Amino acid sequence: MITSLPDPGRRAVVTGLGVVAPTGLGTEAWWAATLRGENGIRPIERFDASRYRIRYAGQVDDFDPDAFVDKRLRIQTDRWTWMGLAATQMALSDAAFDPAARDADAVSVITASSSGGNEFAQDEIERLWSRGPRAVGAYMSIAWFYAATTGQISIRHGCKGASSALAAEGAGGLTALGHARRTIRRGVEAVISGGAEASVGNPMALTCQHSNPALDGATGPDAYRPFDRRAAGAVPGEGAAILLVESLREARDRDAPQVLAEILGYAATSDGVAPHRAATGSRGVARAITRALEDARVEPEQIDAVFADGAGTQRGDELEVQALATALGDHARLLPVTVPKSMVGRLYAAAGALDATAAVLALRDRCLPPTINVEKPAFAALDLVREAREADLRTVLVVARGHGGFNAALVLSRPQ
Amino acid sequence: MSTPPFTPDQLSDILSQYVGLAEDQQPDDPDTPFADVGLDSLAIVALQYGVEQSCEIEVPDGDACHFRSPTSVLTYVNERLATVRS
Repeated sequence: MITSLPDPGRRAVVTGLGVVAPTGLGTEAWWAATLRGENGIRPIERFDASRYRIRYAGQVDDFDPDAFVDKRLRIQTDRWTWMGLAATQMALSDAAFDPAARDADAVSVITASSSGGNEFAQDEIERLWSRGPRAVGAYMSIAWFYAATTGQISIRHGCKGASSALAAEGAGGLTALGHARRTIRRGVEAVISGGAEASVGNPMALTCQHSNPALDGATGPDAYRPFDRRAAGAVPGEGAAILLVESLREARDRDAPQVLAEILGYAATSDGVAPHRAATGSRGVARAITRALEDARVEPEQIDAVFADGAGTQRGDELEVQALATALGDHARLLPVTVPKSMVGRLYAAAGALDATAAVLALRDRCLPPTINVEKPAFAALDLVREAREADLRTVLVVARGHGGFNAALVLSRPQ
Repeated sequence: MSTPPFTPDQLSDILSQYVGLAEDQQPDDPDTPFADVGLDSLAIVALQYGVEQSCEIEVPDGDACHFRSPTSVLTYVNERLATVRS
């Protein structure tokens, strides 16, 4: 049933969405807040973050894990997995898809993670240091490792198809979706895909993020301003975005209530100079975009909008604009570009998946979400969307970058 | 003055806190194997850990065979506490 060579004739479509985000619990709540341009960045108050360089983040304040995870599972999992399980439940319900009713080997789980169960690990590490190794609990091993969310989703829903956990930092969410499409093409019928991240609520996680200069010292909730002349850094965030990706044929066979978008193309490149030094040029991003378009068999002129990575640093923004110009030519100047993550922060493994979700809903509703906090656009040739804008969208491009040199691009289209 | 024994209520608290097994999910018959209420081997390790943290005795890893049912745990822990005292 799983073939080693992908069959490009098997088309991959998005049939369900689930979102846990700083500006909304549930897809429609988050999307409505997004179209309104609501800022979800707040001071970190879950612990005393005053001595850390990162003091602002997109946080999901009203997430109640008990509503989604029973106690037996809750004590052996991290917050990041709770969010992933919650978003999965939402996506499956949205798609009216029940994995239990399918052949177990025909449903896969492919999610991205960037820091694993860091909050769970923080507690266990404190015990280790203060009381020694026997004070570390039994579940540390399975709660922290990067595959925990994929694994627990797979166990809960009985999905035994080829599954994985992908780590590509901020590009992971798109990488997971690209791999989901590849897996569909190899014969699987459905993939629970996307990403989750919860790394803004404990000292250890914040310390790990200090190595990224792009996150230095955001001075307020509006400090993350991609493509603005005053761009001086980004803020991190937590959340989860899960998309159900199905084979178009099987979605039609089961009379899926909705086919929201098709994943037409995907590509990824890697060009970090060193783990903590960004790429020195835009070639890696440009190549990812070009290859994604080639993979989609789509010309630059067919792209109607770009959901940009939006580094929020002057150099990072400059490189992305260069990459768009290189890959899309003159058409880049006519394209609306937007960065809805300005409202929730950079969500690491969830970022690409949440941007893809925004792109899917933009296609559905024919409306582009805004980029917020921008007062002085830095690039005259860039059509930056700063208020929700109606647009007859047919094909859109999503770009994502991860610290350490990860680049990914995804092409999505309205279903045909 | 003798040290109070390890009681079913204490075990119940440990099952709740460290294994996540709520009181109404715990077996009525204390001889019921834990496996029958869905505890896997890692849950038994978590139970051993909970006993260590709560009772201040060390539970060697190989003693998992004594954690098969509520009765076996009560017997094991009380025997260990008696040994520690004497």
